[in-house]
Amino acid sequence: MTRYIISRVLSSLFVLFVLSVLVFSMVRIIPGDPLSAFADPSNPDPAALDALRAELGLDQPWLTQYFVWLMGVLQGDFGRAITVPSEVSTLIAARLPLSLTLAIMATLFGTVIGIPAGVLAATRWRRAPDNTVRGMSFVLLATPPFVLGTVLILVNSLTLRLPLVGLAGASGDPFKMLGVLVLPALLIGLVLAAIVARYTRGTLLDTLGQDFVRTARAKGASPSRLVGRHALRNALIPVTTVIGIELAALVGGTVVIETVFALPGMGSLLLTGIRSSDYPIIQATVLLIGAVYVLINFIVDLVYPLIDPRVRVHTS
Amino acid sequence: MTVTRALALAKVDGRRRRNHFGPAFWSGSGILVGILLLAAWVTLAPPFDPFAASGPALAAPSLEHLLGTDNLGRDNATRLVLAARTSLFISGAAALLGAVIGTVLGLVAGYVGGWVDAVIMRFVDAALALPAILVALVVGVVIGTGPVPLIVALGLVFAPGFARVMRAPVIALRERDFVLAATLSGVRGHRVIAEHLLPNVLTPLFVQFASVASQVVLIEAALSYLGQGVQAPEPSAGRMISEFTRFMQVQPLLIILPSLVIILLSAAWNLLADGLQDYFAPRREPAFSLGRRHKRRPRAKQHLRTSTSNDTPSADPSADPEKRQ
Repeated sequence: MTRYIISRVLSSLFVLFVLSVLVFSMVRIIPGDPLSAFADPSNPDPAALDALRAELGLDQPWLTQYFVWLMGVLQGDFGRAITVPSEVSTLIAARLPLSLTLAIMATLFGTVIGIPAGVLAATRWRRAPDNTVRGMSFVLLATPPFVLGTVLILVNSLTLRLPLVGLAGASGDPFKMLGVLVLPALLIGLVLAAIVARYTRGTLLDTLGQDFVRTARAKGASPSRLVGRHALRNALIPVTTVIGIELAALVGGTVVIETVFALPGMGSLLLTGIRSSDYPIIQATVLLIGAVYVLINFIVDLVYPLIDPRVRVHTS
Repeated sequence: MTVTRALALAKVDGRRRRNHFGPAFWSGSGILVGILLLAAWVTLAPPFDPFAASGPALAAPSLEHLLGTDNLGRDNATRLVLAARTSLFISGAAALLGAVIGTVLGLVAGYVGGWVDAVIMRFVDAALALPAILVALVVGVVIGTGPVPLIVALGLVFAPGFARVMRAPVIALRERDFVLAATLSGVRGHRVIAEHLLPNVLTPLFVQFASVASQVVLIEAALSYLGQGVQAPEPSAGRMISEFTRFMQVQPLLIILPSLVIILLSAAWNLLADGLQDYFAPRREPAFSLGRRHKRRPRAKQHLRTSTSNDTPSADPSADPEKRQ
């Protein structure tokens, strides 16, 4: 068990390292000088720009820049934003809680709706509930959350006129914040729920087709016991992996949904960074989003042996 | 017919054995072909200039403009077909690029094994840890926006997924007699991969291709919505939604129509993936299904038949359970 955990930790650390190298080098290839925003376009002063470049460390070799940046990141210092007069860590601290809350709420919605829907569909195979779940998840899978959000805002603007967009009036009040986030989180969560429901249904059907289930059924186990005690435990193992993998897509979904609902989260910060080619902001946001994803997958890996005794046996 | 499909067929109950594509495949490919035909028509003989005003602004649907006009008086139908064409082209090309790169990586990793496999898969894991839309956003900034950079970016983003999907069945096939026989009789490694392994992993490849294409449609739409995808004046469903949000109370069709285009395209690719999966790897019947207890007899018979014809081990681990019917 200890060996299993150590190997998971090492592999997560390696992924984080590769991630940091990828992020760092990706951002360096971006054409365009981020410092051009500081210079007068008609009359650039090379000496002043060079001084600024030296101050920000941009005149150092890339390898040096990488290690300086990495050391800073490990201490929670993401450097100074180039186009905004602020520390990147300050910018992130203001926005990360919102995005994290959004992602966690969406995961909860996705799991809480998705798994029961999948179980319902699998146990009523080829009947009305199955067809309903399949049809709905099929449509949801093809619908990006921002389209759902925009159509919802459209319908709302023509009918109820509830205040859905923006954070106005909700800042500072955590309960109101949660209320504002429910709708965007539900929209992303629904898409996740569609994926989870399809997967749960698929793996549960596979499990229910296996001989041990037939044996248990023949011995008189009730369908609910069969599903709850025998089949679901087996079927949920791959579903856990899928939830972990889909979280990456989910985090991407938050970037877009934040724009739809005008929420000041990591996504809008990243877009600001991209539009002004502000290296430190892009690096920090992409790295943090990737790191959150790696962390969640690490937790999923740790949950594995709890759900699946075989992992425990094989690794110890 | 390849070994894997024959095995999958042998695994399911004989009655459900199918040698025809199902409705999912036909409706999916039908929609895609329909869009291609429409696109060909609009490209060769456009009814209206997609870039110039041809009527009053924000007009409702009429006989002349079947789907109305946008804020600049341009014909919506023409522009939507062109947007669908761009989206279809980007999704197909990006999925193809990802498939080529990813398949080569996956086949090599699976067949060669050892440290090559370890190195490739570690990088694949790291690349998969990045949300696709983030990578596409950043890569888009590096190599510019527009259809071709989008294809390159999204192709690279989805290549690791292909590598992972292709590697698993290759590892299972590597030890099989026909591969060993080929290796022992002196067939070179690259020929074993191309002629013996590749034909047997086409199932997951095709399914993955169609489902990646469907995801590319969604990501392209999202990127264009954020203003980082297809650029003006080229029509794009995603950008239409963000541009026309201002006019949505005046003319809701301007939001609803591009939304439907995105959903239709993505759904068509998904249907294709489902149909292919069902054709190549049909599923076994579950042991029971709730909700119809009064008709037990026919089901009991059915169990008898399945259980006598079936003593195969558990489900094919290489198949993607999500995509099954």
